[in-house]
This record gives sequence, structure tokens and C-alpha cells, in this order.
Amino acid sequence: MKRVFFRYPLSFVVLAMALLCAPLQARAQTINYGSLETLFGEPVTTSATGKPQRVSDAPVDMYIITQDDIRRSGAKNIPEILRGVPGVSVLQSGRNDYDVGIRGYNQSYSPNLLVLVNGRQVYLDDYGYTDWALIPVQLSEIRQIEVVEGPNTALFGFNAATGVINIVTMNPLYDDVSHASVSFGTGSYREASLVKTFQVNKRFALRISGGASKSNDFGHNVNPAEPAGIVVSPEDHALNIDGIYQLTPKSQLRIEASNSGAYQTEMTAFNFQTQARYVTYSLKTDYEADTDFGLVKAMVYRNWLDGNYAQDIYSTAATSDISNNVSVMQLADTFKAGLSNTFRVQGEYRHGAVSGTIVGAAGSSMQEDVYALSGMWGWDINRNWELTNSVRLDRLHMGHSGPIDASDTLLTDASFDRTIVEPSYNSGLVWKATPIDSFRLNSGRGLRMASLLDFGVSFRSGATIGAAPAVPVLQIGNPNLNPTIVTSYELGWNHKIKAIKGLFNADVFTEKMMDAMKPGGPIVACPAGCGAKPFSNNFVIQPQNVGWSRTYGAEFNLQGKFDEHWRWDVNDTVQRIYDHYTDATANTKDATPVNLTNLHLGWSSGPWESDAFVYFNTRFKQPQPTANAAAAVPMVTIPAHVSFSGRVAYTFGDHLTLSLSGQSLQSVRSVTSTGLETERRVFVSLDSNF
Amino acid sequence: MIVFLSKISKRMRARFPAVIKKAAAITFLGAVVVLSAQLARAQTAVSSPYVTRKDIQVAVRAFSFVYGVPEGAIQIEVVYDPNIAASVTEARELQGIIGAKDMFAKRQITVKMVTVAQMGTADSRFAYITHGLVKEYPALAAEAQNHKILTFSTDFKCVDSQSCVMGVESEPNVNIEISRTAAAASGIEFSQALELMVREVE
Repeated sequence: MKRVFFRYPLSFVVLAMALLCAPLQARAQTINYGSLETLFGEPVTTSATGKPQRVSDAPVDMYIITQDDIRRSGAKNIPEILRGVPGVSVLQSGRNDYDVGIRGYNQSYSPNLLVLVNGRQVYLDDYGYTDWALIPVQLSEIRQIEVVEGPNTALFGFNAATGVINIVTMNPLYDDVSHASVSFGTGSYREASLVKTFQVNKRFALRISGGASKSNDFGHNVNPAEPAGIVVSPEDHALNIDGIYQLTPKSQLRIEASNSGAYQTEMTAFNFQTQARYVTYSLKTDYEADTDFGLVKAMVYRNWLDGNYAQDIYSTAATSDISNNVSVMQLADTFKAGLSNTFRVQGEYRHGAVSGTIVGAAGSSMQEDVYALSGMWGWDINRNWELTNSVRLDRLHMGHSGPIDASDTLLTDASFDRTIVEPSYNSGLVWKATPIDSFRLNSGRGLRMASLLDFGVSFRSGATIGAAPAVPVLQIGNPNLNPTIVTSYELGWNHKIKAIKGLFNADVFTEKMMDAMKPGGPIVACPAGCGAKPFSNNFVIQPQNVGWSRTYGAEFNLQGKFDEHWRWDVNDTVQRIYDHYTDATANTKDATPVNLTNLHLGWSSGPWESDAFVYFNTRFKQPQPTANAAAAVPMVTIPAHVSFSGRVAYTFGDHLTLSLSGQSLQSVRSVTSTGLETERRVFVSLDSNF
Repeated sequence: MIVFLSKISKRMRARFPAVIKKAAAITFLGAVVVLSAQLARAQTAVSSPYVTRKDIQVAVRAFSFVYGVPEGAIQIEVVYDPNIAASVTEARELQGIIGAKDMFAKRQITVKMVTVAQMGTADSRFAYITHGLVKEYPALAAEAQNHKILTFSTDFKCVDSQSCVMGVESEPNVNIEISRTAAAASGIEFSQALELMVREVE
């Protein structure tokens, strides 16, 4: 590309001028979220079934957080915004270290929730989790955050096992955003953010955003075994550029590129901390067209991640590096057949690879190729009944290339030559019993695939067994892991309540999680065969499928407005998990709070806005390892806790807003995980919509 | 404030089990009370004679999902029959709703009262069809086809009979219905994004 550009610079200039100066035409009406929301008086989504629909029509349990909600939350990051959503649990282990789970099973490096930005996966395939600090999005450029609860693999693929969060940003062709903000706070917090859209003409628009934050981390470690120097001051940055070009009145081309980075102390999947430094890049191209044979969408993207880890509870001296990239190609067509049937067909190809010092000797890498075919059929049976069915078949083939670590005597390249074929489905029936009542009955089968490192890690960790002479532990992948299969059944009721200008919704659900995975199974003496290589006295730790678990739960949500100035909501989630694990150390029952209750009261009048939030968590347990890798890892009780947060803001004129916000206001510090004790933080922010 | 919250927090920590039960009970009780009140209060929709301002807002917003409709001001013909009282009443209602050069969905809207025979004479592409014109549906559909007019109404019978292109309703929920036959006859093409979200009839 670079060569071509320099050879024909004039051609590119002419092409660019032609694009920018093209005559004005009516815009394509692909999915204009803002206009559709205004038209129907409620948010619109494509994350439930793949077709555009009102959130109240979605055959799944779904919540949409709007830009208004985000602004008024006073939150400084996405997990803090998600705290108030029914069924969502947020685990905070440091100032910038969050894990989010839906319907329980939350843990460090939470693997069961797929997170996307405009359909691009920001879930990291290396360890299989989402690092929220790396999401290259400023809060002021988010149009809505769509939270789908329950498995949705049939639409999104692997890892949408217990839920999906799709972050939809503003579309520069339709939305005009010019926003700058600076924030300062306790703990030496400072943050700056800028979002600007440029509507060059009616056919071409750009969105450019960037932001960075830095602060001190929380100061007190819950786990006394964590090394003293493990805590660093977290910092992160993000840049994003998003260009949309209206090719014809019925087609659009969108290109997004991003970069993000973070440096932080984070809790690993093994529940000990490490210092992590990340850099990510992404490049995505979307083509959407309103054609005679349906709404066609083609998407191609590639994500790059470089990570570096230093220090851990086992005093590992050496740092470790990983490099992970994911390439995805999707082609989908959504169309109506007749008056009452909607179909969507999609094909997908995905290639993922991870390399680095923890994937074996230099030059080694672990790869996977996934081919998937999916289909959705929506049937409007009559005015009151709708049935939606989705199915998907994924075929994953994995492989390892390059030399295996010399100490890994158990695996060879041939061990990784494996193919997995798994189906998934979603089926939902919606009954609009009255104009203000609708009922949902749905079922789904979701998949969580083992991460690339679950399959192929090969690393001699600093963990030692026993007294001197210490024996190192070999951490190796398990290419025979089966995907975790989540099967859910759910009944939901939505009821509009005019008197309170609000809504009540209730859901009862049950989910069965087969072949649950544990990142590190029991540490065992090197099995037979180890003797063939030099490190015959190694101990081995390997991820394992550990059996099954079932959860029963219910969610209640009531929200309303009164007196034009007030709005409120209260929600409650009750959940109980029953484990049937073959590994006695696996425990998701005690690791999931039985009850989550959230309250919100907001008031606005003229230039003033004020919002208060209360989050309540019953007690739960988390593993808390010691420096001796051989010792059993105890489960430590995290006491029940209440957290207050809030925001008060005053807007000067039309453009400048001064706000005071805070998190964990109830006490100087409180125990919310086995990571760092969560501290009270207060922020002053100045926002300008210029 | 922070000190106050800290004190509350300390007290709550000391009495957590009781507080948990109390909070859960209050939450549950609150929900039950509000719901019971709701059930007790019949939610009878406020009856609107024929058309509301919100209905027109919905319709005008939907126009932006029609290909070829330019941005900016539009004129709407209000089609009525002077011999039908309901039709006249509704047309007058609409005139009252849309004042001179009123703004709807960022568009300046003007209205002109016309009979079926006068449709299209104002060079407008949009026509609101009042209730009660059942006998004139064939003539109405023919005029709409001749002048390529997007006909819309709050009378869904007009859409179901393929005489109107679009039916709109704003309460208790926004409801849009499109007649494929009427739309095709008038050369009206909606975006598929909208078509996927509304009810379509022949």
C-alpha cells in the first residue's frame, strides 16, 4: 500500500478529493440507532438476534444503557457503569482492575462474557477474558451499551457463554459529538478525553477520539502473601479513528482503527497479582448495503495484542511476553421472506494465534482456525406472537508450530492437532399479551472455548514445590480440553406502568454449565514419560474440565419517573449455584454472591443533575493463594458490602459542565475481592460540549 | 457527607444480616405495592379522537426511512370528505395540531386540506388520510399511484385494504404498519432496516 501510494500520489489525492467533494445524496438507511430510537421511543438493537429490533421486542433478557445513563452515572470506566444492571456482577480487584460476569460464575479473568465494540471482539483470546482498561472507547462517544444475559453463541460465536456486552459508539454520519473533558481526583487521579466528529459532507464523516488516565492504585493488599512491590500506579490510554463513507444511497463503507495501552497490577486467573503492560491495535472494515436480497453486512477485522507480565506471588524473576492476534471475516444477510418471516444467514472465518515466552521455546506459536455457519429464522406468527430460532455450527481446528519447551515432555506438536465441532442454538417465543405486557420464553446453548493458552501454554513458572531444593512447576496447556457448554432456560415478563412512567420486568432462569474449566488443575508430580527429558522431577499444572454446575436465579427490575425531575430504579438478582465438580478445589457456588441489589435515584432541574447509586452484594468467597504452590489454596470470605456512588453536576450555559462524583463513598476502604481493598475515590470533572 | 456515609456504613457493617433482610424486604414490598397499585388502577388509555401530535411526529420521523425523500420542509395534504362529519372533524383536528409552518422531527411542516379528487394538486408527496373514507379507497389509491404520494393514516383499515401506504399509532406503543402493495404502487421504497422492525401487510 505504501509503495503504491508513493508511486501514484496524484491518483490518491484525486480519489480523496472525489470522495470528499462527491455530490450530496440521500443517506443509506442501514442501522441509524439514533433515528430508530427516536422513532420508536425506545432503544434499538441488533445484538439479540442479529436483526434490528426494539429492545422490548427482543426474545432475550436484555438491558440497554444509554449515553444519558452513562453521563449521569459519574463513572470513570465501563465496569462501574455496568454495576447497576440486574444480573451483572462486577468484581473490583484494583483501581483499574475489573472483572464482569453475568448470572454468576464471575472470577478473575472472567471468561464467559463476550465483549464487543461495534461488533468487533475486544475479548482477548490469549487467556480468554476482557481487560476493560484496554477498550479503546471514550465514555462520551458511546451511544449505548447492550447487555444480553444468557448464552448467545448462535449469533456471536464462542465465548458468548453466559452473556454478551456490545458497546455501540456514535456514528459520525448521523451523530454530531464534540466533547472534551478533564478530571482530577483523590489518589492523584487525572484523566483527559476528547471526542470529535467531522461531517465533511453528506457522504463522508469521521470520528476521532482519544483519552488517557493515571492515578495511584489502591494501597492495601487483602492477600498478605502478595509481594510488597507488586502494586504499580495504573495508567491507560486509547485512540480511535472511525470513518464512514456513503458509497451509494444504499451502501456504506466504514473503517475503524484503534490503539490502546495499559499498565497495571491485575489479578490473574490464578487469583494472584501480576504487573501487566499491554498494547493493542485494531483495524476493522465494515460494508453495509440495503440490497434487493436483503441487508448485507460484510466485516473484516484484525486485533493485535502485546502483553508483558512481571512479578508474581511466586517471586518469578523473569518477565514473560505474549503476542496475540485475531483475524475475523464475517458475511451476513438479513432479509424478509413474505410478510412474516425474517431470515439471517452468516458465514464466519476466524484465525487466532498466540506466541511468546509462555508458549514454548522461541519461535513457537499456538493457532486456531474457526469456520462457522449460522442462521436465524424469525416468524411473526400473528400480531401478538413471535418465534425466533437461531442455530450455528462452529468447526475449530487448532495446531502448534515450533519447538515445545524443553521441559515439556508431555506434549508434542502432534498433541495439538485437534478439531472440535460444536453446535449452538437460541430459541425464543415472545407473547405480547396486552399493549403493556409481554412474556418471553427462551432457551439457548452457548459455548465457551478454551483459550489459546488453555490449550497451548508451556511455561516453567517460578512456583516451587516443597522445601529446598525447590522444584519448579511446569505449567502446560491441555489440548484435550472440551468446550464448556452452557444450556439455559428462561421465562421473562415485561410490564409497562403508566402511572410511574416506568417498567417492571422479572426473569427466572436456570443454566447448566457442562465441562466447566479450571485454569489450573491440581498440581501433580510429573507423570510417566517425564523422565525422558532433563526435567524429570518437575511438577505439572494443567487446565482441566472439572465437571458440571447448575444455577437457578431470578431478576426483578422496577424503574420509573415522577414529577418530571425525578427518575429511579431498583433491581434485585437472586441466584444459587450447585456445583458437581470432580475437582474438590473447584468452587463456583461459594464464589457467586447469592443476592445483588441496586438502587438509583436521580434528579434534574435546569442546569442541575444529581444521581445517587447504592450497590449491595452478599458475601462470597474467592481463592487466596500463598507463596507455596503446593499448598491448598484456601477460599477466603469476602464480606457482604454496600457501595455508594454518585454525581452532582451543574451546566453553565449550553456547553460547560462541572461535576463532582465519587465511588465507594461509604468508607475509606473496603474489601471487595482478594485483590486490593477498594478505596473511596472522589473526582472533579469539567466537560465541554463545544 | 462522606463522614455521614461512613457512619452509616459502619452501622450497616455491624448489623449486616438484619440490614440485608430489611433491604430485601423493603425492595420486595415496594415492588409489590407499586404493582398492586397499578393493577388496581385501570390503565385506560386516554382516548384521542382520531389523531394526535405524537402520531404525526412518528409519521414524519418515519419519512426519513423512505429513499429519495429530501431533508427539509414538506407539505402534507390532509385528505377529507366534506360530506363525512368524522372526516371533517379529524381534518380540523389535524389543522389544529399542525400550526402554520410547525416543526416536526426537524422538518417544517405545512398542511393543506384537500378532497380525494384534489390529491396531488399541491405537488405534495405526502397525504394524511382521515377516517371514514372507506368508499373512496379505490379513488384514493388511484390518485396516490398517479401522483406518487405516500399516503398515511391513523386508520389502519386504510392500510389493511392496501389503499394507504403507512399506518401509524403512537400510544400506548409506537406501531407502524406498511402496505407493500400500496407502497409499490406509489413507488415508495422504505429502508429494509425499518421494514424489519414494523408489521407489513400486502
